[in-house]
Amino acid sequence: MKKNLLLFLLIISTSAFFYSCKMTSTHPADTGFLHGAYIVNEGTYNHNNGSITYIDLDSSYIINNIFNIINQRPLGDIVQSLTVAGDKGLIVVNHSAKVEVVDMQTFVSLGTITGCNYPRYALYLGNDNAYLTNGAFTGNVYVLDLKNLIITDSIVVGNGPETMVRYGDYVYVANSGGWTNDSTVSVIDITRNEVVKTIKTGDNPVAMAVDLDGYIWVLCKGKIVYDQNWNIVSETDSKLQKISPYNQEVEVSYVIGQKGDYFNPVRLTTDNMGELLYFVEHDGIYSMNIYASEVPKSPFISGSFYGLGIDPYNGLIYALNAGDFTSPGLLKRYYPNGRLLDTVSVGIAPNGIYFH
Amino acid sequence: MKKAGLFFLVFSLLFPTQVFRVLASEPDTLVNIADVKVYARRSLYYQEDKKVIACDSSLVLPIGLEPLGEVLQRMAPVNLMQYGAQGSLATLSLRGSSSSQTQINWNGFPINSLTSGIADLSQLDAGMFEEILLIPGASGSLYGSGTFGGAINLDNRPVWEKKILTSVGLNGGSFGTLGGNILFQGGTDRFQNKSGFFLHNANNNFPYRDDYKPGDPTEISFHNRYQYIGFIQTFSARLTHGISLQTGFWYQKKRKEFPHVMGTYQPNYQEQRDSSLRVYLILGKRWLRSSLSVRGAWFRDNMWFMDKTSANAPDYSIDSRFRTIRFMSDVYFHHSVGKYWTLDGGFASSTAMAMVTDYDGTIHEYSIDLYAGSKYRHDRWTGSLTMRQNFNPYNNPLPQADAGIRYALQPDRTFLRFNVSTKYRLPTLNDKYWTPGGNPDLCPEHGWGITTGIDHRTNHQRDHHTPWMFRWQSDFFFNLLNDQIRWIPGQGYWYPENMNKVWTYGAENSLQSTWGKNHLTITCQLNYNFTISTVLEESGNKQFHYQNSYVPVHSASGIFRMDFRFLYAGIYENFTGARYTTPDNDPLYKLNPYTITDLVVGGKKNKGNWGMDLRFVVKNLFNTDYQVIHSYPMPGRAYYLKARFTFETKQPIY
Repeated sequence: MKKNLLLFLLIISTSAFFYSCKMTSTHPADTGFLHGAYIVNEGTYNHNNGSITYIDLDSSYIINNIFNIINQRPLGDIVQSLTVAGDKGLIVVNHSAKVEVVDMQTFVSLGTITGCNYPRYALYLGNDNAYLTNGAFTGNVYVLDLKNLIITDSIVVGNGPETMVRYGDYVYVANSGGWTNDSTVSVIDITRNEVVKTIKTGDNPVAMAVDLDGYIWVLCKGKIVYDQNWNIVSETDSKLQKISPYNQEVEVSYVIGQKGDYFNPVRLTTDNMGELLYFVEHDGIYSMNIYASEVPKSPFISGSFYGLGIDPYNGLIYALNAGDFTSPGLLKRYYPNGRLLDTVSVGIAPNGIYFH
Repeated sequence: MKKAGLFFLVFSLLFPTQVFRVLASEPDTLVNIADVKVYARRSLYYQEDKKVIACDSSLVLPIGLEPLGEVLQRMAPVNLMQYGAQGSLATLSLRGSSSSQTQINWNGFPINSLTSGIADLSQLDAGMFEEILLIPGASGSLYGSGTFGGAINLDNRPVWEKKILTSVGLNGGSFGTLGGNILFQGGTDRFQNKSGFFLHNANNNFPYRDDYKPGDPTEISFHNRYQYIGFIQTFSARLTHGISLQTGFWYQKKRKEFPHVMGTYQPNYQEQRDSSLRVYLILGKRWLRSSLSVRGAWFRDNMWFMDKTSANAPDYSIDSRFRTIRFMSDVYFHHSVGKYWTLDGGFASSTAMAMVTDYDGTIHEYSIDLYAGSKYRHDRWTGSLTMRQNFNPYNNPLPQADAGIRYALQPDRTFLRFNVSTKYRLPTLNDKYWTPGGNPDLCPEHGWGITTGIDHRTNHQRDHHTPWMFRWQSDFFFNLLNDQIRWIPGQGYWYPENMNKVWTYGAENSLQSTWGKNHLTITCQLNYNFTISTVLEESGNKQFHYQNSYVPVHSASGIFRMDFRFLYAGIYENFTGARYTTPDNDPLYKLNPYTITDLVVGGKKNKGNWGMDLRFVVKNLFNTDYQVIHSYPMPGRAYYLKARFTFETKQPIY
C-alpha cells in the first residue's frame, strides 16, 4: 500500500512537471497526428460545424478543426464519436449519416461510409472490420469492411444502440432507447455476427466500461414518463450496474443521481488501471472504486460537464464543458487528485475524448 | 403595475379638427380635394422624424406573385434570413437586431407569432397589399412590443375611384414553380371592395454544389416542396356624417417540406403546415377638428410540425401542434389644438390564448396599453412626443417615450431629422411556457435608440421642365438593448434567461435618381448599409465584442431600370457582406459575401379596358453559389415568365 502510494506520488509529480507548460496553438510538428488526444465536438444541430480537436500529448500543442484544416471541407453535422481502427480513424457523424474514415497519421480523408441513417459509435474488431451502432428507434449494428469502406452485414439489436465494449469474442451493446426506451444490453458473438444473449438492465443503458477484472460496467440513464400535457407521471432511477463476463448477468446495481434532477447521466469511463470508475452527474464528476460497496454521495470534481476521458498514460482527467452548445466549449484538465491543471477552448459541444 | 408612472393625457374634447393627408415618405401636407379627406394612421402621423421607406410598385419589379421578403430586399438592404428556397422560413431583421424584434403589422395589427415572436415572410405575397412601408427604428411608444429593429406596415388602402378592376396574374418557371392570383377591385367614391385569391406551388428541386461532401458533387434538392393558398378581402366605406368603415378578412394555408442540409446522406422527412385566419374592423368618426377611431381584430394561427424516421414510418417521431387565438382592440382619439398643435390618446387591449403540445396546458394572457402623444408644426419645424405604458399581470415593461424633431433646411427640398425613443419586447409564449424550461418570470427586454438623418431631394414631381429627379437620404442610428432573452442549457434541458446587453450602431444611405424625357424614363436606386451589432456583456461572465451571428457589417442593393413606351427592363442587385455564424466569430464558419443579380424584361400594353403586362425574369443571373443560412443550399439561376391581364372600367376622379 505504501509502495503504491509512493509510485502514485511519483507519477503525479512527473505528470505535473510534464504538463506544467500550457497547451499552445502552434503549428504541428512533422510527426503527424498519431499520438494524441482527439476531442469530438458535436457542433450545433443543422449547422454543419461539428469538428475534431487534436492535442498532441508529446508537445501539448492543440489544433482545433483539424479535419477541416487538413481536408479543406467541413466534417459534417453532429459529430458523435471517433474510434481508432488500426491506422485509420472512424469519425461517426450522426446527422450527416456517414462515417468519415481518415488516416490517423495525416488526418487525410480516405473515404466515407454511407448507408446508415442514424450512426452513433464504432468499435474496431481487427482485420479491417468494425461494428457501427445505428438507429434512433429499432437499432442495428452494422458490420463495416474498412478496406472497401462499405457495410457488409447488419445485426438487429435493441432500440437506440449506443456504445459498445468488447470482452473476448463478445461485444456488449448498450441499447439506450434512442428516441424511445429500452432496458437491455445485447451480447454479440463476433465470430458469428449474431446476438447470443439479451441482458435485462436498468432503464436506457447508454455507456459502458470494462474494469480491471473484466467486468462490464453499464450506466443506465433512467427514464422520465410524461403525460399528454408534459407533466411528469413517473421517473425511474439512473443506475450503475456491473455485468459478469462469465454468466453475462447483472451482478451488482447501484442507484445514482436523484429523481427530479432532470439529468440523464451518459458518460462513464475508467482510469488507466481499470480500478476507478468515473461518471458524470448533474453536479460534477463522480469517482468510485470498482470494489466499493456504495456510490459516493458527492462529486469528485464539481461542475457541469458534457464529456469525460482519462489519459491512459498519466491518469489526467479530461473534462469537457459544452457551455451553451452554440459557442466553443471548454476542456478542463485535472490531476488525478482532482486539482485543476488548465483550461483551453475547443470546438462546439465537445462530448468525448479518445486517446491514441 | 410594477413600474412607476402612469402616462396619461386627458382627452381633449370639443376642439376644432384639422385634417391631414400623409404620404409615406413625403412631408405632411393638407389636401382638400372636394369632399375627399383621408386620415393618416397614427403610427405614420408621428413618423416624420424617422426614416420611412415606401415600396414603389412601379420601381420594385416584379411585384405581385413575389414573396414579400424578396420585394423588401429590393426596397432597402434589409437582412433577409431565408432557410432555403421558395416557401422556406423567411424572417427579416433590421439594424442588426433579431427577427423577433421587427414588428410586422397588417392594417395596424401585429401578425408576429405569439409563440416565437417572428413573422414568416414566405407566407406573404407582396401583391396582397396596396402599401408596404419599412420603418427602421420604430419606437415602442407607437408600436408596442418588439421594435428594436423596426416595423413593417402592410396596408390595404382603398383607392376611392369609380371603377371595376379585375386582374389575373400567372407565374411559372424553374424548379416546378407555378402560381397565380385573381384580384377583383370595385366600387365608387364611397364604397370600395377588394378580393384577392393567391396560389403558389414550387417543387424547389434545384441543383446545388455540395461542398460539404468529398469532390463537391452536384446534388438535387429533395423533399423541398412548397404549397400556398390564400384569400384576402377588404371592404371600405365612407358613410355620412363623417363615419368611415373598413373591414378585412385574410385566410391562408401553407405546406412546406424540409430538405436535408448540405453534407447529409440521409433524406429528411420533416414537414410543416401552417394556417392563419385574420379578421379586423375599423370604425372612424370625424368632426371638424377631432377624430375617433375604434378598431378590433381577431387572429387565429395554427402550426403543425412533424417528422418521421422514414418515408414509410406509420407514426410521427415528432408531432408538435400550435394554435393561438388573439383578440385586439384599440380606441384612439385625435384632436387639433389651435393652429399648430395636435393631441391624441387612446388605449389598446390584447387577449391571447395558446394551445401548444409543448406547454403545460392552455395559456391565457391579456394586457392593456395606454398611450398619448402630441405634435407641433410651425414654419420649418415639426416636433412630436409620444408615450405609452403597457400593463399586464406578469411583468410590466418600463414606460415608453418617443421624441423627435424635423427641420426643413430648405422647404420641400432638404430635411434634417432626429429622434430618440425607448423600446421593449415582451417575452414570447415559448420563452415563458415551454415545458420543460419556460420561465414565466422573465423580464421584458428593454432599451433605447437614437437616430438622426438627412433627406434631400430635387423636384419630387417630374414634368417636361424638370426631367430629372434626385433624392438622397442618410441616417445614423445607435441602439442599446438590455436584458436580452437567451436560451442556455441547464441540467438536462434548456431554459431562457435575461442575460445580455446588445448594442448596435450604423449608417443607412440611399440614392435615387429618375430621368425622363419623351417616352424614355431611366431610374436608378442605390442603397448601402453599415451595421455593427455586438453583445456588450453577458451576465456574470466576460465581455464579448463579436459581431452577432448572421448580421453583415456591409450590405447594399441597387436598381437600374429603363422604361420606353410599353417596354421596360431592369437589373436588380443585392449585395450581402460576410457573416459569422458562431458567437465567437470563428473564421472557419464564416459565410462568404455574395451578390445576387436579377434581370427583368417586359412589356405592357393597354387597349381600351384591357391591359396586359408580360415579363421575363431571370433570378440569380450569374448563377452565384451562396448560402444565407449556414448549410442550407440556395438555388442558382432560375427563369420565370409572369403575366398579368387586367380589365378595368374607370371614371375620372373629380
